[in-house]
Amino acid sequence: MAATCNGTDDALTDSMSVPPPVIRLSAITKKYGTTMANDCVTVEAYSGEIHAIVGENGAGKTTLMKILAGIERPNSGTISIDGRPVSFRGPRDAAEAGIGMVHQHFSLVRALTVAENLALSDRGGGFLFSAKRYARVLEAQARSLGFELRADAPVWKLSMGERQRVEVLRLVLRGSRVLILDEPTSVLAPHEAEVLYAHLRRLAGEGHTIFLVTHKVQQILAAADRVSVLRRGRLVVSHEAHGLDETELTKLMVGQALPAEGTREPSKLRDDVALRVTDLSVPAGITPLGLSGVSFEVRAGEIFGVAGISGNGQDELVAALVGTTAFKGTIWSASPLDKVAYIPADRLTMGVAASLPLEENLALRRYRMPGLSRGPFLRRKAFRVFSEQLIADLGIVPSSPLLPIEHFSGGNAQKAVLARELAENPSLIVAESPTAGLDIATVGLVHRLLLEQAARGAAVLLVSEDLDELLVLADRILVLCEGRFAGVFPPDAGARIEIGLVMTGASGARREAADWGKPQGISA
Amino acid sequence: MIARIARPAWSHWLRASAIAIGGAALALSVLLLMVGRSPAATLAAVFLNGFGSQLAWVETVTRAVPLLLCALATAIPARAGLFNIGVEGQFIAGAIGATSVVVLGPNLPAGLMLPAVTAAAMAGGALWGWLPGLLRGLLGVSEVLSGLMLNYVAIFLMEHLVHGPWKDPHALGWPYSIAFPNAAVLPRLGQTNIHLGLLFGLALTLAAYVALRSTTWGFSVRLTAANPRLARRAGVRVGLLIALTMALGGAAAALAGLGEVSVIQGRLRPGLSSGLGYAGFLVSFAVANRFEFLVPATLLVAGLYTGADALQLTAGLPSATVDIFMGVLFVATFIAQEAGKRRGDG
Repeated sequence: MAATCNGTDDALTDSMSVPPPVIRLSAITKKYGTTMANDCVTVEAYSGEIHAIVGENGAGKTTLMKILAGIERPNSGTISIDGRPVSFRGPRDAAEAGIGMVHQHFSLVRALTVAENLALSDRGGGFLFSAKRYARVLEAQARSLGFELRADAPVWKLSMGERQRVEVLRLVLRGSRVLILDEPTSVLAPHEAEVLYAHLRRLAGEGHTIFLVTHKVQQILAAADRVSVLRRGRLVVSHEAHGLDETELTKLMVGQALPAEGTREPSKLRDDVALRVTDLSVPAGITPLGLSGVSFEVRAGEIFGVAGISGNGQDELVAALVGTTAFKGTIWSASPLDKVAYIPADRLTMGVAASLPLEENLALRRYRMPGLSRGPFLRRKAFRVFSEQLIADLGIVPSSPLLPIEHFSGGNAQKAVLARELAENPSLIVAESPTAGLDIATVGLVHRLLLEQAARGAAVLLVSEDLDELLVLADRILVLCEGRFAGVFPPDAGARIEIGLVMTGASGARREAADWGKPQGISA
Repeated sequence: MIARIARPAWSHWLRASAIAIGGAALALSVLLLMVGRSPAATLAAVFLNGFGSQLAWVETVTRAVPLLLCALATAIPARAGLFNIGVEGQFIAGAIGATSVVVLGPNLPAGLMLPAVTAAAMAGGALWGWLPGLLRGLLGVSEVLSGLMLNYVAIFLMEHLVHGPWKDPHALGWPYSIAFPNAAVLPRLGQTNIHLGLLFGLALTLAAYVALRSTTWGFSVRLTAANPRLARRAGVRVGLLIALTMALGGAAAALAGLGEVSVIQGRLRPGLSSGLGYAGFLVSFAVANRFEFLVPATLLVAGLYTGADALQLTAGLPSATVDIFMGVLFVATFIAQEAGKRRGDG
């Protein structure tokens, strides 16, 4: 248990009073190649505590939590539970010690019901299994913990928030005392996040210890008891949430003055229509709801926001626009649809070719054009010049053109996607949650780039679940609910609540379809 | 998160190979001790018989030629992300194609015979590769299953032909086609059985290496392997590309079939391939389908086959020894490769 890296570590222990922390991660160091993902990190958490682990992309948050969950093994350092050192050979050891993790990407079987999913991880069950009886027992247990649960519902019918609660419940029912949630709110609508935090608070009240990995500063201060800030693999500070403010915390994370947010020029919408979507329908399949009869226009130079809780038709709309699904209705675009720039939400499956080097990922939309090829041959030197320019422009780190993109952090992979797509000077940009999972500096960069593109005259269709982002960036906001048009709103503060209500279908006050042609004034 | 790993390169591959060969030697030593032979002497004999003399080298290269072509037949589609399990069938389809010219057009002018035989062989193999490629590219049917099944179709088609319509009337009931006339036999090097297929193999390997690295087509292939959906969006016609790489692979396998039917056997007969298609598949995957390693790997494996075969005669070991030997080597190679990857991932 001897910490050998620096003094902060022992000081921390001495200052603590009698009951040992439930979890003590002591001087954890984890190297990937030459990169220090965790550099002598010491973190303690107590029973009943919600402990936020915050930091930018690549700060080492997830790595630290994976070590705690037994998924990764540290190069050095120790983990103790209730003051007793433990050693995990794998996730199963950690689970037996009462530690469970909810990953960013859920691990539920979509085709099975909630009860069946939970039965999968229930070791206590016998050979014979009565789904109905199990479901009743489960619902009762869930209710006693404050969860409302539809145990008979197949998982694919559940909202992301409900799925997440099933994941949490699975860990609790399995007897986990320590719950780790990795970026839990990244898939949730605002009110769902509230629900999640309420549940976590209740679980903490019953003595569970909860780790939240996140970089959403605002939410943390309200939700957490203690905040540990990581930067570039090192622990910057571990402090009670009470008494920290947002700016201070952000500075600790970023380690510098905040990057300037993209500032918004007063809107100068043009008359020329860049995209006209008329009566667009996509059958259910991508998500269970599909898209039915949606119409709207996007002008050149406009950022057109699309709001809605995930799974309410956004995926279908985007798929139709970028040509990956069949649809009914018409899509008219001023530029050919294969010239559309596409910033996909799912970087790994649609955005990058993970095993190819950075420079080839940057060049893959134009490698057959004269600049980068001559006849059938690639011009490798031109590749290098082209990619180094983009790497420098967007500050992609590490700036190694030959490193496969799978070794870059999410934020830098996203920069590469943006660089590639925007290099074509597109007249229509479809951006799908372009800042999800990114750190503050990169979010600022993405916003600035999108605003620049709009200023240049491109039409930007920005799909985002982050309403704040839409209110800052968009000229108009289309709301989808259950695959249908639910209104177009101006991005002013007053519209916020109304949008929230329309998103969830709570408000009958859908705007008349006649509104969508008219650009709204901006008063934010 | 931000793992930065040096690309697995030469050093990684060399280390994996060393581990594999060392591991295989160790496992074989145990086996040899069990049957009461000296491992050192036996393994040395394998090596000497495979590489120790000019005669050994001639035999090794002769065996390496079809093996190289079959390895190429695996490697080309593999670089587009496909598993060409149908090499065996493509090999036989190539032999059938070649024989069709001999049987159906025996009166072709001598100067046209060889080009016609070669073209027909390649067409047969390409067709046999193109079919599963097309099914995969257009309909998403697994090329593994359709390729495997087409192997049997090719084998039984060949059986049907040599027992039926193409049977040599003078063969006294044996299931043979007529012999290839001299004009239809691939040219050979001196008195050896090393034939023109060697040049085909080397030229194809070089061409594939260059094409993959340095052409727009090669980039499309690599992009398709890495992310087919993204490739489609980047304008690659993925379905056609898949069918094309499979057809190219089939054509390479067919050249091996051509050499075997014209030079080695001299006629179409059952048991033509003796598993060369599968051996080529293993060689290719043992070097992660990298063209720059195909030639040395093929030579090594062919030499070991030759050397181990000689053991049957000189050391009185059963013929299955060769298969055990190669099996152990391949398993050890795949273990070493995977183990190396794990370590790299941290």
